[in-house]
Amino acid sequence: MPPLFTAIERLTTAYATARLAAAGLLALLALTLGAASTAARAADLRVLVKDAAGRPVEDAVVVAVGANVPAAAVQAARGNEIIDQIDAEFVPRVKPIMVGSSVMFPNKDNVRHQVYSFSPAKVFELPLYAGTPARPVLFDKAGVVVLGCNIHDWMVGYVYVSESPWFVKTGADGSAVLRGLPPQRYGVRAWHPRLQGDESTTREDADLQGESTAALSFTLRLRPDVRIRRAPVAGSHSHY
Amino acid sequence: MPFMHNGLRASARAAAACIPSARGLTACVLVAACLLGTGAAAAADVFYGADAAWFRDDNVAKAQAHTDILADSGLAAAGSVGLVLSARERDSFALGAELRTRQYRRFHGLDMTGLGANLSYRMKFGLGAYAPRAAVSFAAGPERYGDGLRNGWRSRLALELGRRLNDRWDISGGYGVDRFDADNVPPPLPRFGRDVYSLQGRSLFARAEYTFNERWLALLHLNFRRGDVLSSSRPSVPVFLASSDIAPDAAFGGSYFAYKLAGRTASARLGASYALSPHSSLNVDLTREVTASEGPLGYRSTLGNATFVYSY
Repeated sequence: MPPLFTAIERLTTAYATARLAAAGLLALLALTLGAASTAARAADLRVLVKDAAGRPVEDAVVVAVGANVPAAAVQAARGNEIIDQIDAEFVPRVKPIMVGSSVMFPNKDNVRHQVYSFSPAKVFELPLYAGTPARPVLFDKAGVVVLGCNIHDWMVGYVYVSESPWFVKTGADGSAVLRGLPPQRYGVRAWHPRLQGDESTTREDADLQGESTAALSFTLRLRPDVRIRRAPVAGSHSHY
Repeated sequence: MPFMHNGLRASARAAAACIPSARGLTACVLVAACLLGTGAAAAADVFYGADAAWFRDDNVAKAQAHTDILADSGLAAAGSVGLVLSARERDSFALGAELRTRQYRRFHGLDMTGLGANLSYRMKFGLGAYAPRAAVSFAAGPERYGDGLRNGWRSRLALELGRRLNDRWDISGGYGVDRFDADNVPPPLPRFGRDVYSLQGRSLFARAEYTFNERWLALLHLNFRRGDVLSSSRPSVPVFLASSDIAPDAAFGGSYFAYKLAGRTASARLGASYALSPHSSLNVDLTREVTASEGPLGYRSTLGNATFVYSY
């Protein structure tokens, strides 16, 4: 092959490679700029929940309600959730979900359970079973659903069915972060299984327009922690 | 005046006759256990537990006269295992076996080791923790004592109704029939039986539990029993005249006799329980027992227990 043709072929190859690289760079740039733009629009809301004595409250659910709810946010929040039964307890004990989500209740114990709820937001009963039930339970109405087991009276769990896609549950330190909130005004409220009074009384307003981060704190009045005791009592022979 | 309380005793015996034969029923329980256990083992949930206690009884002989009253303390332990078979959604059978022992510090004639089988049927009238419930239970088994004289079979049949009122209160009550058939009955004396250790009676009981918080719980248990009473004391004319059966009682030394009397016993047990974990607890309780028999006869005793309980 004459050297001229070889040189032309090399130049052509180099040009094609350069074009490909340039296209890749442009795409990367576009993605970066897009993400940066989205990040600029969305905000994080840090929440802290304490009790009246100033102690952090674990397992509190914080919900942010805004006027504009993008369909993508609803799609992202709605899903198939799981509440296990381990050592005759619901795990997790408090589970926030988006309305329209389904929950499976796998029994990981070697004893059978009979999960039920009388709550207006969802009345259901799973007949005595071991293993994983065939079908999940659909939670199609917002509200608090209290779970129980008809065999083990001490078993209590809570499904918080949120009408908003923006919700979070606090950790042991009482804090949590609601991430990726679109810039708008929100009504934010907190709920806990031992909350005294109505959840709506906890409402705080948060304006996230033009803000990338914000913080809210809640002080909840809680009832004493009285549950049906699981531990045995001397002289009581009540197996189940 | 002996047998003045024959009517009382007769009614108690009529009630106790509901337990035709401890041995026969125990055999039935064991057969039922085998059948149900075999047929439904796949659907059975296993439970087991153990407890250990220190106890003190300030009138271990159940004597009336101040000079005859003897106190003692000791250690008790028990272990149990069983199956719960859920027949349907709201009812279940429980089959269990229990081994228990009670060892006294001073009066080793009272030391006891017992083996028991029990069968119970529990039913809930509805769904949820607050649904009323009912249970029928039968327990029976042999008991062996240090003095050998008290050896026999103990059995109890009970019906209990209960309801959890809220997260704090749980109440229940019921009716029970108990019976103890002594193995060794000496030949009777003229006019007097010597089957002093065979006892039977019937009871009404009520129980209330109050939960303070996740760990603390208080309980009150009231029991009213009508039937045979075993009292040991030095020879006493009123006790002698009121007794139906009399035999020497070596457990308290050569000077004591055991008397079988008809009586009414009221007892109140007040206790507190502290949860160490979901499966274990420490418990203390005090039981005050007052028995009234013929005329001025009767006795009072106070029994205290400190018990560690584990169950799974």
